[in-house]
Amino acid sequence: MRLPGFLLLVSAALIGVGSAAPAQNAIERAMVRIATVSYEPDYRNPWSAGSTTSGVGAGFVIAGNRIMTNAHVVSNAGLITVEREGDPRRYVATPLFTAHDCDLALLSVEDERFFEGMTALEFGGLPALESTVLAFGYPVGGQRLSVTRGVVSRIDFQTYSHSGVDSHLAVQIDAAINPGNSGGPVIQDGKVVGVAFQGYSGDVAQNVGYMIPVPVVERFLRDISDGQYDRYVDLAIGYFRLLNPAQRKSLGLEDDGLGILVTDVFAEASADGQLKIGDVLMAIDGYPITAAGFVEIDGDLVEMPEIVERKVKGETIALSLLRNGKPMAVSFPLKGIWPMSMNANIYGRELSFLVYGGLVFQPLSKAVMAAHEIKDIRVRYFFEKFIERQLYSKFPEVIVLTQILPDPVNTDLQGLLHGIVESVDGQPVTTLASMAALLDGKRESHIIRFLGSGRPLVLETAAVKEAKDRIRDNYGLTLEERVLPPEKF
Amino acid sequence: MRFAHTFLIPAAFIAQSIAATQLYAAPKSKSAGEAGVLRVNATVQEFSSLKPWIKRAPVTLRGIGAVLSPNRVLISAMQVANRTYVELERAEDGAKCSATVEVIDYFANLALLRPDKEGFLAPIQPVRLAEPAKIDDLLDVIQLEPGGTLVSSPGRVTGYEVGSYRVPTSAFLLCRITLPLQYREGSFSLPVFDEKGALAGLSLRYDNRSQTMDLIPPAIIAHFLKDAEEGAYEGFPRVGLSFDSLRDPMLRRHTGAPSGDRGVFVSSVLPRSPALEAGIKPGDVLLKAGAFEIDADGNFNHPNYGELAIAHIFSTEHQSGEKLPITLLRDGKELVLDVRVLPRQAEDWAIPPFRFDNPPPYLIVGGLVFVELGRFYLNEWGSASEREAPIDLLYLDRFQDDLIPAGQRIVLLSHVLPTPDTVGYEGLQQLRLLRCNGMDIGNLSDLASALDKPVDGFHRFETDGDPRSVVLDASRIEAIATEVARRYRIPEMRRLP
Repeated sequence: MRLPGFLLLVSAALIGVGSAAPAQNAIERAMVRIATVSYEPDYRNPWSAGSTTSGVGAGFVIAGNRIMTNAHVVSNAGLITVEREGDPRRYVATPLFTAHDCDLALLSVEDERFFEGMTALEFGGLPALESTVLAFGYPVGGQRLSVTRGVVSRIDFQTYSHSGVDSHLAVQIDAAINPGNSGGPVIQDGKVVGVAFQGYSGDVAQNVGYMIPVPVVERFLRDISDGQYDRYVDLAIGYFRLLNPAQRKSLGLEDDGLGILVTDVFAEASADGQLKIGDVLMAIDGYPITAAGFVEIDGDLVEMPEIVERKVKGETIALSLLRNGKPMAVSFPLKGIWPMSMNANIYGRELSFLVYGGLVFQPLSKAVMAAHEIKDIRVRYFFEKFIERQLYSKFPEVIVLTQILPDPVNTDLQGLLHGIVESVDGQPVTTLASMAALLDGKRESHIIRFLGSGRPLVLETAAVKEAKDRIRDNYGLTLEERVLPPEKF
Repeated sequence: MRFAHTFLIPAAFIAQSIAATQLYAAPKSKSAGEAGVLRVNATVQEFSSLKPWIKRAPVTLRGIGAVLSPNRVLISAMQVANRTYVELERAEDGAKCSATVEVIDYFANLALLRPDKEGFLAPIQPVRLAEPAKIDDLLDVIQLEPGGTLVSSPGRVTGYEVGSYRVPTSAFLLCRITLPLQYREGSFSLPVFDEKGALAGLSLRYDNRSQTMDLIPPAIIAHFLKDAEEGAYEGFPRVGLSFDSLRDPMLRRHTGAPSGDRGVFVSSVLPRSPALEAGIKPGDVLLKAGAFEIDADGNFNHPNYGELAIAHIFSTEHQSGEKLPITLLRDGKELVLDVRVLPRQAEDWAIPPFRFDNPPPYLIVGGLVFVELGRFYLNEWGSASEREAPIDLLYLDRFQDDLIPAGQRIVLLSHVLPTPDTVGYEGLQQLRLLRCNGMDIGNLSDLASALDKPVDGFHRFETDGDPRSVVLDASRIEAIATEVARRYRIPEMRRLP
């Protein structure tokens, strides 16, 4: 299982604790030990199955005979088995929904006996600052259930490291949440107030743990209520805080501390065609937006995107704004920003690639950057500025020559390594699928051009065909291409 | 962000210990004056790119120069970059004399000094340039003891190549010798002599782990001196094309090049370059440059140095303005084009590879600090600037010939000096400025002109990317300038190019 360094994993068996209070017995009857066998994709050998690793995580039963856990516990799992206390059997579980963007998953168990005698836990609310919570889990090295008492020390937006790009509300606890608490419930007054999910490695900070709070869990449950998980939605705009008096004056704004400036509207996303660069957003769903980008909800100031956070795909957002000084109102349905996947950790997807003449082409992604240690400035620019510069509009996928499997057909092509494919035979390449379709071997030769390179890559079809079996056998290519469309959502 | 003194540290002696090793006894007990060398002490002060209104603390660099007839001293250009005072010192009697830089070429890392006092060099025997050294020849690297005694360390020539010099984009012939060299103060650059006592080079860098020294060979020095003699110094020329290997047989067949290993594929021709002027096109196959046949990797066989990269022909086999006949294969036919080779000066780059001696221009308005982007600005991220500097700036720098229109510079909002009037702008940094008050900005002078014409009482700065628009109250500019000058001790709000 490929996990970022500071995600937590349970690695011990569930054993009841005699001294636990009666209320805790109910919690024990909801706790699930989850064992997985998962594969770790190998971006250097995208044709291979990758290596497999086993892992253990925690989960708990919620209403409807479902098990809630972290997405990272069950990501890329080939087999998931669950166990419960006092029952030697292992039951096969299947993921019902996996939400990588908020690190939550729901599992089902086909064998109904599993849920006999189990108690479904209920959810509470957002715990107050300084209040005490109990985290249930099986920290590293321990065989027995561990209950950790902690105080809620901060409630704030945090990057969820499972995807690496999503930020949501998270609750910080000052107690040691260690590998072993992952997916386990955090309890207050007998109710679940969070799902333990990440911490820091000891060299960064100690005794700091994070849990996914109920608003995020509830949003997840609401999102899947229609039978599919649609991911988070986003306004998909860039905005600037209108704190400067001269800037406010030039926009004709009063000195009332309200309003933010739209500086980007991302194509193909929610606000595309609805908002314009230069619009001043004054209110969102009726909540006035402060010049610092906050809205007040129930007496608390939260960042403006929090309003959007709570919505699911297709729900509408209403904005009051000033355009060229004139008040306007717009409302539009919300959706996600698919180009975010460029910079995210990706799970549960087979690897897309194409080998032609021993040249390996892959769509650029965070994992591809890392696996091939790409330092090329153009590729880095495309990777880092993919969204900001809206490069995705022209290149839904950035196809990179990531590897050359040495063979007589390609011995003098090393200089092209890490080039970004611009065209094949003069036709633009925008996805791996478009490239694969163009490399049909029906011409005498194919000419691949790379961005910024005047040197064409000429591949004579006869030579490529002649090399095909040799390269496949020499390099153990079990597959020569797997061309998947880019995932848009 | 931190500053790296990369080009002030004598590369030759980084972290070298001063362990007591056996002194090498000079074979002939020549004096420094007889050998034709003297000390050169240069006090230099670098400009800060982030705070362009300040000069950094002065540093003194000591090296050894070679005396040339008439009345000149040859020294490494890097030793006198950003000089505030240059002084010559005779090794024998310690007599000193200030000196003026007469000609300097940072690409070739060479400078000619003229003593400010007549006759100061009279006791010193001028040197002459050596014939090209051959592989395995022994050369003497000259150092001076504190008392003025000349120490020479022999090194053997191991080869020649076209390699990078001391500033970005510079690549010239260099001669590599191997020798153990003891650390001595005053070794920023050292002259090297052959067995006849003729000047066989100036040290470019020394690597004490591999015990190899790269030399600026006589061919480069001769080119520099010839240019300097012929009036206004022009510099080493270039052709301005890039090429790829034509080893790949499929590319050969595609281009119609004959099989074998001759010729390279012209992959691009730089804008405003001699190659473009001469009519060379991408896709041409370059077969010959001057009299030299070019192989598929872009190398040729030089009678003195063996196999060398074609860049040597472009830069060194001709003086600026001379014609270099280039034989091309185009559409299956050979043709010869005369390329009038010309230099590309640092300021001809949209993002100059270096800036020495001239203070960087800047303009501060309302606490916003604007500068022109150069490689020196990116160097502020230190030796790892290729990884650490903002990727958009690295991208602009790398592909500047494709991305930036002719004659334009990149004006950056470098950072903001916080004042009560800059509330909300504090975090802005490294933003490319596109327009100001509706006018396109191609350099800092454009910005200065645009600031003369506020619109409706405001200055509006349009940046490439978030926040796209920064606004200042034009009536507040002078008050803010006073505030900025007081808080941040900035003497002048602008220094225009």
